[in-house]
Amino acid sequence: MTSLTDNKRTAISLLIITIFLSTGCIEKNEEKSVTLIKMGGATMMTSMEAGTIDAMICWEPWNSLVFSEGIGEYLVNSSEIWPHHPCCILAADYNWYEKVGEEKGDDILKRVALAHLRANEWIDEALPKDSENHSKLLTYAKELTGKNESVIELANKNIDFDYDLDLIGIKTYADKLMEYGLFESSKWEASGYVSTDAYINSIVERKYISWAKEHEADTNLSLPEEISLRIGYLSADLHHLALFVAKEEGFFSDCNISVTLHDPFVNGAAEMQDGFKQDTIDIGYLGIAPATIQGINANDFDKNDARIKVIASVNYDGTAIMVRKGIGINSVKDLAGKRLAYPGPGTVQHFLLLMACEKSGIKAL
Amino acid sequence: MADKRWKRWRSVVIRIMAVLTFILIWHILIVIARGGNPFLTNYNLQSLPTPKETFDALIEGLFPHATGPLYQASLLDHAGASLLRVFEGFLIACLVGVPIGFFIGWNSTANDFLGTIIEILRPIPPIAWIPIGLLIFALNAPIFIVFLGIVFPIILNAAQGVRSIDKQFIEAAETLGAKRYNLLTKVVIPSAIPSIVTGMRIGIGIGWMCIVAAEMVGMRQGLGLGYYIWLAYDLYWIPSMIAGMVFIGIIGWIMNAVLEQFEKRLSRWRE
Repeated sequence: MTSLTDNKRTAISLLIITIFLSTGCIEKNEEKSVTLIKMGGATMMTSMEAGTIDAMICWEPWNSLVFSEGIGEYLVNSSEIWPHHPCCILAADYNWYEKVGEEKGDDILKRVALAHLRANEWIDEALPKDSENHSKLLTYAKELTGKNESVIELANKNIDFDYDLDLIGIKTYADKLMEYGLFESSKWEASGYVSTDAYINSIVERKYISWAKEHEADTNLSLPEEISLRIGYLSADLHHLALFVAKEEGFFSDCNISVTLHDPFVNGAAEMQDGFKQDTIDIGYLGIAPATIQGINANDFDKNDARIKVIASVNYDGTAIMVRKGIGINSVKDLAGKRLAYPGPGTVQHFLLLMACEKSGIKAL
Repeated sequence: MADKRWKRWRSVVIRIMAVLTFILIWHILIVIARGGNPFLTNYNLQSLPTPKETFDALIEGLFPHATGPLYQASLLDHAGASLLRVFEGFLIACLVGVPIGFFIGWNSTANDFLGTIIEILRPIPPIAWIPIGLLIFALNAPIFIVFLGIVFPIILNAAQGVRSIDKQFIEAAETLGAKRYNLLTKVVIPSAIPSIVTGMRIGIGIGWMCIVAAEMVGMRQGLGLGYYIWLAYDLYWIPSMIAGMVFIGIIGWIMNAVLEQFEKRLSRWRE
């Protein structure tokens, strides 16, 4: 016969165990860590304004917008976390390349690299305010991001548009990604790469951008027949300005390449999974971190469906940690116990934040 | 006696067999898919892990060997965070639901008035409340969703518990001179307790399902099993993703078993 006292005891024990388990686990982890919340750039801004987040790490022009609206201020620019760090890259789908064949594939990729190089040169020339193409540059940037001119002017100062591939920088990324445990262990084993160096050497191909540099001034490099390419890029990411410039200034069409833009992806992981892996794009502008991670984790090695070839750099730097105005956060260390929005796991921003937290001795969960 | 014991053993053996059969079918399907079966590869089944790979990911999730920043929180930490949210939602649902349930069960006007509102709100799935939860409670939205999942079963069962009290008990208490307050505390509440506990058990099961969905769909932050599954999906850690799901199932199963035992004890006491 069970008495009521027994039941009370059972109930109280259950209650105590639940409280102990739950609160113990939370406090242990959240005291000295910054809590990460996944959001898109627009939501980050409204959330910071509403006070539901204390900080954010995002690409430009969101940081400049948050700053010029008086909502937040710059805590750290990514160039202070890792000076001249690789950010976005231009990649081609490996299966597309296999399908069109090596010779034709190389011919097309050389011209894609050339159009990209010319777009970068054009941007460099148009960046100064007194340049005759400056207003056109602002128009393209507005078309890409939907932001006003003053925000774009501010954001452009934080981005280094550069097509040259920094192989050592990319290898440093891969080493850190491995150290941070972002590669899925069984997939890494299945890949057969003996080291991160071997992996990066197999996906980064500098020959296209080298060819483009050699032929920059040549005028008659058009492909014999028109080629259609489906190109992916990230939502409202000013880093990808060269894509819009190349398209609008006719650098693709000069090479007889017709471009169809895929709807913008929310982040690089989505572009790798829903773009390259699902065969909805042939070429993509995206962050080096998701490109490298998903090239292993999302790849079915029987089909190599998420394998890519990195053919050029798109930009360096251009990310920042922003904090809500007047909140009293003066260093990365002060972020402990605060809520920070980021574009998602495995993005360049996630990676840079982990790096910043590691340097400051705090956790990011 | 021997027959009873045999039946119990038989039941245990069948249960174990069921789990093993499920694992075996799972394993065979993945192996066939990886062998290139066109029907299964069409559904991308070759991307899913085998039970052994899932088990390894579960152990790695529970006791991480890796030292990277993503391994600072184990699956237990994530489960703790989700459990805390369920517990908070559960506590608020009890504080709100039990008195309302009593009121509805005890008073016919309250039943007509509040009961109508509840019957309109009850069929709205808790998940459908996520956007409004985010709007009002921001980062505490998951607790609000859990509350909604738990509160209705508690209200209905508390009301049912009050309604189903044997009229003779009430009449006997009144004959012995019990006042309305005494009648409530000495007769009505104790008699309704088993029914309330049933409501709590059903509610907490729904709450557990809600928390994982709320953590997935709402603002995904810090710790929580729903968040863990999405983190694994975003990084394409498929074995860890499935391991997170298996762990959710195991916790739900343990919670239900514990509450069922509690309920059984309570109903024995009632008898």
